[in-house]
Amino acid sequence: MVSSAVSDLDADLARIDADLREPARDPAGLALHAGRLYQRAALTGSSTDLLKAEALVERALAVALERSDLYLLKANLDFAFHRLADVRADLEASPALRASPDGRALAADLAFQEGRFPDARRGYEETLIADRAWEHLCRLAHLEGVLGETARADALYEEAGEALTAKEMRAFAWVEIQRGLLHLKRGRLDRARAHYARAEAAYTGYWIVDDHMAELLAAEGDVEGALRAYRALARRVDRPEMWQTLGELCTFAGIDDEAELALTRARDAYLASVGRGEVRYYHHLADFLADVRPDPEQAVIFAAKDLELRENPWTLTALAWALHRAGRSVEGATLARKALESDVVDAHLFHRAGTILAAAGFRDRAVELLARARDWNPRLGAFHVHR
Amino acid sequence: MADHNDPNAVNSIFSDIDVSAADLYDLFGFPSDDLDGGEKVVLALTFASIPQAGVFDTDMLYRILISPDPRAARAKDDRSLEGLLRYFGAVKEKYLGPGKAAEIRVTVDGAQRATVKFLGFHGGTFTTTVQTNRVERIDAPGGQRIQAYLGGRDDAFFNDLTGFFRSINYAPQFYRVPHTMPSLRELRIPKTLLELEGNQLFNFDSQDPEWGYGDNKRELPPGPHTWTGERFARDAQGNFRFVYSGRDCQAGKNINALVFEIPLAFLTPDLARDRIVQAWGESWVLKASSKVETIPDDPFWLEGPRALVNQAGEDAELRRYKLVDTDGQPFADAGLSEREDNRQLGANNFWLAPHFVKRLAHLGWGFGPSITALGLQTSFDHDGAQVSVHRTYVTAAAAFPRVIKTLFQQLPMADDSWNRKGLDIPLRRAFEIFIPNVCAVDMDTTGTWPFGRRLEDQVATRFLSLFLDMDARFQGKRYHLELLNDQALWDAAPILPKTPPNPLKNDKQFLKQFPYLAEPW
Repeated sequence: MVSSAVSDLDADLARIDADLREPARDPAGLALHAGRLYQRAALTGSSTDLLKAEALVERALAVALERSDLYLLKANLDFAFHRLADVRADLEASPALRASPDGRALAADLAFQEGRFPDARRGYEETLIADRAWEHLCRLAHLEGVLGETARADALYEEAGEALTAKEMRAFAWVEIQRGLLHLKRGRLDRARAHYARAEAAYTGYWIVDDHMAELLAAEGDVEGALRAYRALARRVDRPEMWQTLGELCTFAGIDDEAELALTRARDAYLASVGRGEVRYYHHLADFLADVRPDPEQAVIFAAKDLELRENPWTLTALAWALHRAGRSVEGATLARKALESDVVDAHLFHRAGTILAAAGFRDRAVELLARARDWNPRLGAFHVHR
Repeated sequence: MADHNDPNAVNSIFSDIDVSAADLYDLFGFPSDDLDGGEKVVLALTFASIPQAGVFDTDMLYRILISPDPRAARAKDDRSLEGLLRYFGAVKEKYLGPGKAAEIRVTVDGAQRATVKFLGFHGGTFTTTVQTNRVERIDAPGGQRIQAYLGGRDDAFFNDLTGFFRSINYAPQFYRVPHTMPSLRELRIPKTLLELEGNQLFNFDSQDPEWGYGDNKRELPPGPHTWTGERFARDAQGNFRFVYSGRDCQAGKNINALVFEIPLAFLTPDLARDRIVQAWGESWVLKASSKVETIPDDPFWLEGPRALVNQAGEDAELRRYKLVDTDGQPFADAGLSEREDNRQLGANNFWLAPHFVKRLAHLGWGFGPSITALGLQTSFDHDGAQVSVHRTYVTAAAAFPRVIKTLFQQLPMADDSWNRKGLDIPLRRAFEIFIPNVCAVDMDTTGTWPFGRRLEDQVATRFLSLFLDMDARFQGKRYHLELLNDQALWDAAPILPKTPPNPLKNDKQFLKQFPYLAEPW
């Protein structure tokens, strides 16, 4: 399957593009085009397609009689752009959407993003009673995964995969990536590789698979292989985070000139996004400015903005880390402690919190957290991607 | 920080529901007229011609399950709900179940060669490969000769599907129903054979006569999606408006088909005893996990607990597939099971028995008053309702008194030609036809519905006849299953258009010899 001349992704893109060449004559046609552009963006990683889809949804909403599907699409777009308040407004605008399994799942996603994990769990479980679809199984699996229930998460992902047919190979590849990621976070690189290989075999040409496979190569120590992969990905996928990863990998490999170019490109794209009024890259910018191109004061600003959008253990930790890097570890420690009040089990989060608490003078707690981080992921120091 | 888990970015919202090769259309079954070499039964499973007529989807697996049995002795006329449920239980125990039926299993490879497995037959278990799109002769180990045709044909079903969907106010045929609103399929409007006054959501639109045909659909208007009228619509001359047009919505369409002509001696050692051949079809699609090659030498795969647990006691090949659709009786799912995916149980639809009673009563409140308004007698007890009523039931016990006659009345045939040997064969009754959901071919008859299903049977109209009171008479003759196909009835009725509900014959003439279904368009 891997060696076929036309990749699965290219074949799907051709089908979508053929649909998009058909004129959209009515609101349903506009919605269909918007949906196709949304799918196209998922295939290519292109923000441009997302923006085009958004424009079409707005046009369709202005003329459509029945809008629940359009609000579903809009809510998904708003999620993609991290506009959580807009997602809530979309759900409010359509009682039909709110009552549907998709709407309930979106409401639970909101709870997840806002760190309300019990609400998220309840929402996912209720959704699954109404519709035990693969995508809802994956949502609950993700929650179980971040709460440290790796085996339960994996079983749910497995059930999701078993629900998919040969006509849904891209979704299957995506599920396999999630399963691999579960193991990568525990430092089980061989298991991650097995799942990534299944994803690669299931659906060829998928940038998400290539991205994770490249990260795994780097974690395994094959920096050359990872560099080749990320150079190709950065050229192919229109996303600044790909350039950031390439830049970080170049820095890791000591290729400073290429690192400089790649990181500059990433930074410029992040800032251009912010300049357009978008909020989706606050999180990446906070990370970038805290560690990659250190400007801790700016990192604090973007981390605070992200926290304002969604308070969860990761946004709390991001701001804590930025404060720590800005020499304000005591303030950071307060936020890190708050992040730790959640039930999240995440080696990276433990490590950062431990480092901040150590700097703030809380040595015993710091030692405990750093040990916990190593226990959870013995390969924590390996190369990893900021996602 | 992987705080994003966005399956919707992968899921295809707004994807059109493509016509799938898993979508089974019909199962035909009848005794062959060709007695050379002994009695034979013809079984034909038809399904969507995806990717195209004569080309099979290589991710699919099709099964035709077959169980030869004696003709059931007619029990005493017990018309109680308890008796009905006892019948369902007895049939379940006696006849069917996954362990009993033999099966023909078909998969097709990339070169379009079909692998055909005959599993569990009296005449043997064996596997063969055949070419698609041509008649093949298959010699069984016991010496019986089976004819097979696997390929594209003309769709043998002929009916006014749009008319049927108009009768049940099925919105997706006429509107683009939102993905988020699956409840807006059968709208809460009385089902009816006659248009309801003011039912603008579904009544025929003379300005757009093609509405509801093909892909001519409208945007669903905002609710309420209900009807508040009080009578059937009538024109200035007092004529009702028929929801049916008699048009053949399947005209010019192709299907893919698996057609077999099988000696009865291959199915059973006791030809005198086993006169009923029960059959149903299933479509299965390959699981994604099966499409990906496993990595057998990786120790990880030996640690997958679910995968190992699930292997116990299951068919190794079927485990790689997922059941999508079943087909036994026409209208068993569209008419009586509301086409819900979780009701695709095939012959094992016994647990649906209470639902069957409730659904039949729900339909009766729609069709019964329509029949009465036309001056005909109905088997459904609607308390003299002057117009169709939208009524649903929570319990089968509440619905049951309304449908006693519909369930238990014998269904007379138009003449005696069906009983070609003149044997004492009891007429079929509705509850016997639909549960279990199988095509039960009586080898001593012509196999016309409900004693099987012949290609030329107009089963859509015969299905409506279940709601006629078969004790009544029309023009001096007792009602029968073909009455609604009688043009004289419509000529005499105050209705337009004056046509039987569905076309009387297929758009293409059937063949007199195997594979019987007409050549594809």
